[in-house]
Amino acid sequence: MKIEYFILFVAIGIFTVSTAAAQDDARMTVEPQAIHIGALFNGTTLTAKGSLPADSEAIVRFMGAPCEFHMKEKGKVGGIMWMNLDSITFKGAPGVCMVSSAVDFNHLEANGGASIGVLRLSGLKGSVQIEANGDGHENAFEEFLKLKQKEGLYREMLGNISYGSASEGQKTFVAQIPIPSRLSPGAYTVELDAVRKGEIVARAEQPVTVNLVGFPALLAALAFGHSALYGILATIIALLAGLGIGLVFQGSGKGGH
Amino acid sequence: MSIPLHLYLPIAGNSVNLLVILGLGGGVGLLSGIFGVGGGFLMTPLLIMFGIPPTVAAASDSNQIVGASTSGTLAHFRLGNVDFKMGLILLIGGIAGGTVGVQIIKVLRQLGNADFLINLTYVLMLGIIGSYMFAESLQSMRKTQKKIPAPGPRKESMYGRIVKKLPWQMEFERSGVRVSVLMVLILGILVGILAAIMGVGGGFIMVPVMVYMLRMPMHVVVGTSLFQILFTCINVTIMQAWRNHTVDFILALLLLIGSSVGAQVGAKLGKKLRGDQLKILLASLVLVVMVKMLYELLARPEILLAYVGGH
Repeated sequence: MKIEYFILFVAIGIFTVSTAAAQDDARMTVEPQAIHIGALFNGTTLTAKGSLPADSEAIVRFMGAPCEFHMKEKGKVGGIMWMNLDSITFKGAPGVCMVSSAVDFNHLEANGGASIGVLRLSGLKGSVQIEANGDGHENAFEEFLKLKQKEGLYREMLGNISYGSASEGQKTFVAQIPIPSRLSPGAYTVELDAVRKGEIVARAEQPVTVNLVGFPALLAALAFGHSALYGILATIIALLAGLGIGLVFQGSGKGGH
Repeated sequence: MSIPLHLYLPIAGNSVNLLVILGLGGGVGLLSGIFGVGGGFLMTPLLIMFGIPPTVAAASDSNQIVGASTSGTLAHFRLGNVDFKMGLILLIGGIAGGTVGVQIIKVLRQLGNADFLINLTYVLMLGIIGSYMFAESLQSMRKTQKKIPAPGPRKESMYGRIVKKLPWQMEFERSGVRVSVLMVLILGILVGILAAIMGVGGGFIMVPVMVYMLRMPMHVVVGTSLFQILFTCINVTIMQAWRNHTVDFILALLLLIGSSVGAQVGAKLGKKLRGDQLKILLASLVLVVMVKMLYELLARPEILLAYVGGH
C-alpha cells in the first residue's frame, strides 16, 4: 500500500513540475527569416509569433551582432569651434537594437525585479566596453545611445506586441518589429523575453540574416572590390549622360558651372 | 502620407526618397540655370543637410558635376568659348591638386576630421565669395549707371607688374592674355585641392580667379572653366572611388537628371530677371548656406560623438 501511495505521489509531482515547466516556457517563430536589401529597400517589418507564460509580459528585441565602433568625441577647440578630439572605442555594442514591449517599461520596472533593466537600451551599458584616451568620458555611453537613436538603429517601442487567447498557462503573442532602412548586411537575432514581476522567466530566440541582393549587391561588390574600375565606370556613365543631356537640350548653351 | 518611391544607396548605406533627391537636383539646377553659376557649392551642403554622409555627398557631387560640365563644355565648344591651352595648363594643376586633396581627405578621415575640414572650407569659401558678390551687387544697384570697371591692360597695377615679371610667360591667343605658365599651374593646383576637399568642380572659385587674376574675358572664362572642371572632376571621382569608396553613383545620376532639367528651366526664368537682382539673390543664398554651416561649427552639437571616417 505504501508503495502505491509513493508512486502516486511521484506521478503527481512529475505532472506538477512538468506543467509548471510548460507554463514557464517561451516559443517564437519569425517571418521572414532573411531580409534581402534590394534596390527599392526602405526598411521592412518582421513578424514574431509565439507563446509565453500567461502571467508574463513579452519583450521582443531585434539585435545586431556585437561590434566595435571607433569614434571621436567632440570638444571645443580654442573655446570657439567644435571639432573631433579624443578617440573612443565602444566594444560589444550591437549594431542595431530595437526593443519592443507590450507594456510600458517603467511599469514593468516598478513591479520589482532587476533583470528587466538589462533588456532596455540603457541596459546595454553593462555589456559595452568603452576604451578612450584622456579623461572626461563619463557621458560617452549616453552620447552613444543618442547617436544610435538618431540614426534610427536603437529604439524602444511600445504597443507593437499584441496578445491572443490564453490556455494551459500560456498565451500567444504577435510582435510587429519595424526594421530601419539604414541596415548593414550580416547576422541578426530576434529575442523574446517573458518578464514577470521584473524578472525574466523564459527566453527564446531566432536568427535573422540580412544580405544585399540585386543591383545594390552588384554595386557594392564593384565599389568595394574593384574600386578603380567602379570609379572609371561611374565617370564614363556620367560623361555619356552629360552628352545625352547636351544633345537633348542642345542649343541652350548653359553649363553647370 | 510618405511618398513611396525609395532607392537604397549601398555606398551611403541608407535609402533615400527618389523624388526628394530629384527635387534637390532640380532645385539646385534651377538656381544654377537662373544665376548662370555652378550648383556644386550648394549641392554638397544640401545633401549633408538631407542626411547623406559629408564625404559621400562631396564625392558623389563630383561625379554629378562630370555629367553637368560635359553638356556645358559641349555647348561652349560649339560657340568657340573654350581656351584649350589655358584649360590644359589649369587642368594639369587641377589634377595634381585634386590628387593632393583626395589624400588630405583620406588622412583626415582616419583622424576623424574630414567632415570638419569640409565644413570649415565651405564656410570660408562661401563667406568670402558671398560677401564679395553681395557687396559688389549692392554697389552696382546703388550706382546703376556706373559699371564696375572691367580689368583691362590700360592701367598697369602693381599686381600686373608682378605678374609680368614671373618666369615662363606664354601667350594665350583665345583669351588675349600673356601670363606665366607657373602662375596658371599654381592656381590650377589650388583650385584642384579645394575641389577635392569640397566635392565641387571649383567653378565658383575658378571663375573669379580667371577674371580677376588671369584677366581673361568673361565669355571665354565660362567655357574654359567648364572644360577644366570636367577633367578635374573626372580625376576627383576616380580617386575618391578608388581610395575612399565614397562615390555613390546612383545618387550622382539622380542628382544629374534633376539638375539638368532644373538648369534648363532656370535658364529661361533667369532671362526675366535683372542682372543685379540675380546677383544679390544668389549672394544672399550663398550667405544663408554659409551662416547655417558656421552655426554648426560654433554651436554645441546635439551629439558629442562622430564616427571615424565620416560615416
